[in-house]
Amino acid sequence: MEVALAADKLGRRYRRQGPWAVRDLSFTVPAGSVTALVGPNGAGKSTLIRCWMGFERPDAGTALVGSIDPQRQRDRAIASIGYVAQSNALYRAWAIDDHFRWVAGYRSSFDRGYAIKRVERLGLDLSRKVSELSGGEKAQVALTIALSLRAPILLLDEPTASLDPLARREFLAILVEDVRESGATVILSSHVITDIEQACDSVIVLSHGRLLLHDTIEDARDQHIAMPLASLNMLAPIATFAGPKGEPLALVRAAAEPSQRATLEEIVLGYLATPTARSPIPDAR
Amino acid sequence: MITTVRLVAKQHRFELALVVVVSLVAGLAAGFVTTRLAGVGVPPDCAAAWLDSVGTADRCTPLLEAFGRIYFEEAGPVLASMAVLPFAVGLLAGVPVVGRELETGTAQFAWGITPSRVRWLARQLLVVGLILLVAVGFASITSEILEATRAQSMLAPPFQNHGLHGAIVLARACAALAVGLFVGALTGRSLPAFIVGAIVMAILFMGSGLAREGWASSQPTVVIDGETGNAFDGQVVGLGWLDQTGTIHPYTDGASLAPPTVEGDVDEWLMANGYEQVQLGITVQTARAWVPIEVAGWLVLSVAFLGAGAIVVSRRRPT
Repeated sequence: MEVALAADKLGRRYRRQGPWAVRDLSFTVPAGSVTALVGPNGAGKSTLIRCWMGFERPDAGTALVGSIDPQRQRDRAIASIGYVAQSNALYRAWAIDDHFRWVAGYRSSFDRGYAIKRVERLGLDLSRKVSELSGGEKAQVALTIALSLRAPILLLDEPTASLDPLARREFLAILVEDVRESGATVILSSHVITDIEQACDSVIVLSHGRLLLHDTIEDARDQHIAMPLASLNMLAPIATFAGPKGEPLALVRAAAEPSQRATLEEIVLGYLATPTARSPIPDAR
Repeated sequence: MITTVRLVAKQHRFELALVVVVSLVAGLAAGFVTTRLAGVGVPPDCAAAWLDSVGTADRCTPLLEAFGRIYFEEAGPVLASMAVLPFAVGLLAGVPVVGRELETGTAQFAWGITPSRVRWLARQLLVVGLILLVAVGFASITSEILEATRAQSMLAPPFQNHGLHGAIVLARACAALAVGLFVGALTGRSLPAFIVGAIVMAILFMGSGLAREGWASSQPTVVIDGETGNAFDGQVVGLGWLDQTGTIHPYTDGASLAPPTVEGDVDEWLMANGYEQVQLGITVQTARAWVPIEVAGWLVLSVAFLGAGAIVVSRRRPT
């Protein structure tokens, strides 16, 4: 299995002696996979992505892009990544096409023709300024740029956060379609679980900077059962959490029949409800 | 390349427009005052007569008065503005290059695209720096012409307006640009960077003044003739004691020149015992040698701050 991204005992904190944003993360992301990075606010999703980008210097361990350590060879790491930042921070004064031209000046792999075609398909005028675009349109432009880089790895940091449900669905549909064609490895950070099922094949659940679950969505669903707390019998639950109607549910790790399989939302909620997930990593002090 | 120039200019359009407009206004004002001064048409012999303190002919007096009025009322403020202009426009152009990218979050986009942040910085700087150089260059040239017109025609010592014209103005603007860029990269905020940059530039400016004084006092001095002092076209550096052998002693050495038994006014004793209190200066040729030194000093600072800025940019995390 070719590894596209990896974390090896990765730790990062923003203040010396302060709490860890991520700690002791070790896992690999296979090439060609579309992995959801899930967790509540402050779980460490952005920090992890920024470590791969070389934007954050790990305080422990390493983040690897393929076999490249972005801290040592940031140019090579960046050259293989298409990145969409959480804030969709594009230049307000520039038109969409200005961005395309600018990017083309730095990345020879940038496919401007594809970018133009894609934006036109979205019904956006290339000469429109970013300041005139809605949040959803900005996200689409940012995604277009990332996709048009034709990079083998896409790191998307909550790109759908500012989108309404319809725009989100459209955004993800385009992403999936494009990624299927290109075979790129994608990390999609989100806290909207429905997004994940639509677009991803693997899931990483983080909370308070710790890795709670990393599995393919199929395997995760095959191995988890969500059941009412009352029918738990002798099974040891991973955690209990409130169901859609407020009823207490338990998540159990066990081989599941198709009819028993927990939904991805139940799995994620179950892991986020574990005592480990709820307690922050203590300060080093 | 044209795309880069266009986009960077678009990105910093407000600051660059202000830099261009302010420099253009100052430069045009200097040009306008120069033509007014030249228009008075003071003949060289009038200025020479005035400088030699031998009285001026009747035909000269109204011309010199008109020239002096324009010089003090119009050229004075224009040249005085050159004291602030390079620092203000340099910082204005330099701070947003990185500071605002970090402040608005666009650094995440830019640094996520460009494999080499130094290359990105170089492109930004090339455009902003070029516009600054052209704009301030215009003001520095016209102010130099203004100063040359004044110096040819008359009056005050040539170094009265040191630093308010010519290459020094441009060099100071380069240093301010570099300081602004560095502080902006460090703080990641535009307004605080501008304030800190202004403080840094004020310290450097004062430092350059002290360095100039120190340099001037270390140069060989000449005694300024008391009777024709006005005609001295060098730079006055202070007072001294001239002994009967013609040796010049610094004024501060006065106490050591008198015997320890002297009580009371040492100056009086020295003057009564063959020492003459004289004004000392360095010749115009010597004084002019400081200009390239100061220009080089500002340029070295520019390179140092740009280098430091590049290091910060390449190591900093985008916010």
